[in-house]
Amino acid sequence: MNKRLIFAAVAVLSIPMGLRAQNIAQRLDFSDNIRMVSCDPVSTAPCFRLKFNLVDAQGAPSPAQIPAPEKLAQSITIRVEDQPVTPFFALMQGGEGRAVRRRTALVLVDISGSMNRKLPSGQTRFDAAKAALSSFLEGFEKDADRVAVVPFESHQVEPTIRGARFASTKEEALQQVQTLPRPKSNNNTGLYSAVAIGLDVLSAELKAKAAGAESVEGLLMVMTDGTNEVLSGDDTGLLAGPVGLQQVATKVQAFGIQVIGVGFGDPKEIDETALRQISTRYQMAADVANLKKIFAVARTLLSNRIQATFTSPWADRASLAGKTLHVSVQLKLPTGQLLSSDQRIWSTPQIGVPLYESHCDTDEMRALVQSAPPPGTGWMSVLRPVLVFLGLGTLLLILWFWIPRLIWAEQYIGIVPTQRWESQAAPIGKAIKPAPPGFDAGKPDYRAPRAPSDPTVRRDFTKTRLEPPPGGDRSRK
Amino acid sequence: MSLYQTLYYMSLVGGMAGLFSWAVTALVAAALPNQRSVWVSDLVAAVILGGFIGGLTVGFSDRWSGNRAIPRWIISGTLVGILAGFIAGLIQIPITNNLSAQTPVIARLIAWMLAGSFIGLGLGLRWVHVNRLRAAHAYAGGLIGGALGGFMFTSLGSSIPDLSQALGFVFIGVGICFGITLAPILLRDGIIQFVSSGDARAQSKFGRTHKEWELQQGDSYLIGSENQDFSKTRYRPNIQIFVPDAAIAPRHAILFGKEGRFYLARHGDTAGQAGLARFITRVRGKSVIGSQELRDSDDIQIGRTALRFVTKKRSE
Repeated sequence: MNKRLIFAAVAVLSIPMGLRAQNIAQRLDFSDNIRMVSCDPVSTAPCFRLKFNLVDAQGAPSPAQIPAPEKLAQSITIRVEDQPVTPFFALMQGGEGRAVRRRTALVLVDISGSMNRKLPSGQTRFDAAKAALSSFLEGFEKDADRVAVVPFESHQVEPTIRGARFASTKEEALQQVQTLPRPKSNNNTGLYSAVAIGLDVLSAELKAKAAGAESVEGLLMVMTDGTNEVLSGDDTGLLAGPVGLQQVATKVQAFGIQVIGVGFGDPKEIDETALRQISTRYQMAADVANLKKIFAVARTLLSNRIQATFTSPWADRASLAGKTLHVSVQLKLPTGQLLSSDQRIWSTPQIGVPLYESHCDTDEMRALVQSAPPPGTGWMSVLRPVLVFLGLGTLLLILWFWIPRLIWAEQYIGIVPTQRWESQAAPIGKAIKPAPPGFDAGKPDYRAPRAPSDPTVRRDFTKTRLEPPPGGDRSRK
Repeated sequence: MSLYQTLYYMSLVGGMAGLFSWAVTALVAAALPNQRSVWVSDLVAAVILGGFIGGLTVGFSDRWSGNRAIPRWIISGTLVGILAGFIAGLIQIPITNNLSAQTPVIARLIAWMLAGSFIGLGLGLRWVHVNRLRAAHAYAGGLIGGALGGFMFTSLGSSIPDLSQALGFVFIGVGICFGITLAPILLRDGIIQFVSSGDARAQSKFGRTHKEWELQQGDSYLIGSENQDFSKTRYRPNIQIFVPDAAIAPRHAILFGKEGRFYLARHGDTAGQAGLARFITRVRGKSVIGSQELRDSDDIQIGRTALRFVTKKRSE
C-alpha cells in the first residue's frame, strides 16, 4: 500500500516536471541563413529575413500551438545585438488556414555498387531507398512542391545532376523514382562533387523561381550508403580528399541552403564525419522504416518553416559595414510558453559594403507598408558619404601641402609667396607691401641662370667634353 | 626628397588611393545586383583598392624619382594592382566562409592582410629585376600595412557610418604604401644622397630636398639621365637613379652591392674612349675607369652632379 502511495505521489509530482522538461526541450532552430533584403522603395533601411523551425531536442519537428497568422509577427521577438525588434512580417507555412509557399527540393540518390547490398529485411538498399522516396512523395502538394530525384555515382556526375528536371506533379516525381537506374558494380561514389553541383543546380532553380513575387523554400537531400570514393576510370575532376571535402563544406555554408545528409545502411561503412560537414543536418537510417521517418521529418521541416522579416535598427547599409550581428529569435506561444533559438551570426563582408541578397517579396512589401515604417532618411545616406569624402580629402590635402612645411621647414625657407608682390593681384583686404630693394618686378637688370654654353661653366666642367655626336641624344639612336 | 619624405608622401598617396577606392567601392556596391555571396563585395573592394594603389604609387613615385610619369607604366601598375587584389579576393573566399562566423575579427584581419600583402607583392614585382628580394620585402611590407589598416577598420567598426569604413580604406592604403616603402628603407645597407648639381634641372629637382636613394646588398642600380619617354619597358623604369643632368649619359654608371661591399662602375655606354673623355665619373676625386669600391661618406661626381655614398657597414 505504502509503495503504491509513494509511486502515485512520484507520478503526480513528475507531471509538471515532465511538462517543464518538454518545454525546455522545445526550441527554435534556424533553417536558413539570415539574409539581408532590400525593402526599397518603401524603406531605405535594410531588412533582414530569417527562417526557423520549431523542433525538439533531437532536431525533429515538434508540434505546438502556433499563434494565429495575424498575431504571429507580434509574437516573435528578434534580438539583434541585444536590441529587441518586432518583425513587420511573419508567416508559417503548412497547416490548415496557413499560407502555402512554393517549395523546391532536390534529392540526390547514391547508386554506387554497394547499394545492391541487401538489408536484413531482404530488400536491397536501392529498393528500400526507392520505397522511402515514394512515401516521401506521397505528401506532394500540387502548385506548391517541385521535386527532382537524381541518381549519382562516379560517372557522368555533372551532366546527370545538371540535367535534373523539377517535377511539378506527384506522378511525374514518382516516375523519376521508378526510372532510377539500378546500381552497377563498377559504380563508385562521387559524393562531394554531387553535393557541390547539386547546390549549384538548386540555387539556380530557386533564383529562377524566386524572380517573381515570393521567395521559394529550398531543400537538398543527399542519400548515401558509403563514403566519397573516386578511382581511376571515374569522371575526371571529381572532388576527393580533405581538400575536396573542405571545398564542399565551404560551399554548403556559403549557400545557406538546407542540406540534409542521410546515411543509409551499415554505419561502419558510412563516412559520418564527412556527411556532417557537407550537410546542415545529418541523419542515419539503418532500415527502411527509419529512412521513411527521416524523409517525413525532412518534409515537415521544409513545409513548417516560420519566416520572419524585420527592419534593421540601422538606417542604411553603410551603417552596417564592419559589423558582426548576433541574432536570436524568440516566439511566444498562445500558452504563454516562450521558445528561443540559439544565437546566429550575420557577418558583413570583411572589406566591402554589405550587399542585398534579394528583394522583399510582395507579401513582405504589403506588410511593411501596413506597418507604417518610419520616414526614410535617404537624403542623409547620400549626403553623409559626400561630406566624409570631402572631409577626408581636405585632411589629406592639408597633410600634403601644409604639414611638410612644419616638419621640413628648412626646405621651405626663402620661398616667398609670389602673390604678395606689388606687380601681382593683391589678396583681398590686405595691404600691398612694397618689394624689397632689388626685387622689383620687371627690372631690366634681371640676370638669367647661366646656360650650359656659358664659358665659365665650360671652363669648370667641360674641359674634356667632346662635341655632341651628330644626331643629338645617344638614346635616340 | 629624403627617405623620410618619400615615406611620408608615399603614405599619403596610399591614403588618397584608399579614399578614392572607398568612394568607387561605394558607388559600385550601389550598382551591383543582389548577391547571395558575401565575398563578391570583398572581391570588388580588393580589386578597386589594388587598382588605385597600383596606379597612384607608380605614377607618383615615377614623378618624384624620374623625369615624368609614363602612362604605360601607370596602366601596368593599375592592372598589376587589380590582378593582385583579385587574387587576394579569391583566396579570402574560404576564409570568409569558414572563419567569419566563428572569429569575425580574425577573419577581417586576415582579409585585410591578404589584400595588403598581395597588392604589395604586385608592386614589388616592379623592382624584381633589381633584386628578387624586393618582391618579398614589398610583400612583407604590404602584409604589415594591411594588418595596420585592418586593425584600424576592425577597431573602428562602424561606430560612425561611412566615416569608419572610409578611414579603414584610407588606413589600409596608408599602411600598404607605408609598408612597401618602409621595407627597403629599413633593410637598406646604404644610401646615395644628392648633394648638389651644376645642372639647373637636377639642382631644381633634388637640391632642396636632398633626394636619397636607398641601396641594398645584391641590388644593381643604373645611374643615368635617360628620358623615360625612351624606355620601352611595360612596367618598370630602366634607370633606377635618375639625375636630369645634361652632363650625365643616358646610361652612365652602375652601382651594385656584392658580398657586403658596394661598387661603382661605368656603364658600357660610357666605358669607351669617347665616353671616358666626355662623361665624368669620379669617386673621392679620382676618375673611375673600371669599377671602384665605395667607402662610407665617399663623394661621387657624376657629370656635374655631386652625390654622397653612405653605408651602414664601413668598408675596411
